[in-house]
Amino acid sequence: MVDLARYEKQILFKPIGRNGQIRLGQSKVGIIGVGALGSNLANILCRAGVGRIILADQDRVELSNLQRQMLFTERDIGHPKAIRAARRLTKINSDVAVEAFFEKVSQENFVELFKDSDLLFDASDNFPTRFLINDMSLKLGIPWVFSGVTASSGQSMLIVPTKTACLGCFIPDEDPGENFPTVNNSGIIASIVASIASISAAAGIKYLMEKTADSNLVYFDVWQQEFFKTKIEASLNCLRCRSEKLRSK
Amino acid sequence: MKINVEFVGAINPGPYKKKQSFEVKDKATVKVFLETLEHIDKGHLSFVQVVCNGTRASHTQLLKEGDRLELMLMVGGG
Repeated sequence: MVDLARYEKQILFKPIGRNGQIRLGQSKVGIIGVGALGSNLANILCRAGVGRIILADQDRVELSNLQRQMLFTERDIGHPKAIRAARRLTKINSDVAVEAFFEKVSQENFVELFKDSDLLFDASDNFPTRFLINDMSLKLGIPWVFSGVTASSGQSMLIVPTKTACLGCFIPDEDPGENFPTVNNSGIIASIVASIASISAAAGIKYLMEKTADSNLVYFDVWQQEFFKTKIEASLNCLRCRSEKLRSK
Repeated sequence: MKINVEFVGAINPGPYKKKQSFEVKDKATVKVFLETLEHIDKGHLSFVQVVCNGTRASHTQLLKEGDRLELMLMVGGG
């Protein structure tokens, strides 16, 4: 039996309330990637009382991760991120069932890992994986939150199959190729990770409460203090979601 | 015709100022304008989101005199 006293202040927040808190406790989410975004997202969602959290990542913790990957300590170095994150999350909130998979998410294991999820969070570090999430989300009918961060910038968008634009509607190519700004060549500060993870977690929790989506892309640069929100319309020419759109009519 | 452009966040302004006016040909599209920014790798242009006068613009949208564009690069780290 979950003690709702833990969530007293969150329940006071009217859009969630007691019923919303119970709904959160009955929800299952998947987080693809347990690096910077993934560990921040998992921290927020676990503390918020999401009932089941699935973590998947094939990497091990490195010293250079500790600057921004909030769930890890020096004792975790060399160990699988997903496993160590799950251990930490269980200590933070034992009401939450956390399942960890030390493996790369692929087309082959996607359904097995994330079937029956209410919502997925993209915390990957490359666009091909994001397009895998996009395409599997369309196939399985599972909404997901697109996130990305580099340097001091990041973006977030809730994508709901047949209700909002999909990733292919506004990014037509899967892979930007060489010289694209990445964490490895442009660096990253922890503030943008925490900011985008917070925006994405809030969008996800709101979706679990209300089951609505506004198709807004949020773009934020924490260093320049620039914040943009723009509505993304579904593209009728998008080959990825066009068949799903037609099917839903 | 003249348009006003702002480079937002992670996108590199290259030789230009963060806020800069550009001369473009009549009936130029967003894509045609983006391709004139030679410091941006052509393979990265699909990842540039454009907001025109406060509304997201597709790369096929026609530009007009006085348009105010904001360019944002979708970033991929996680």
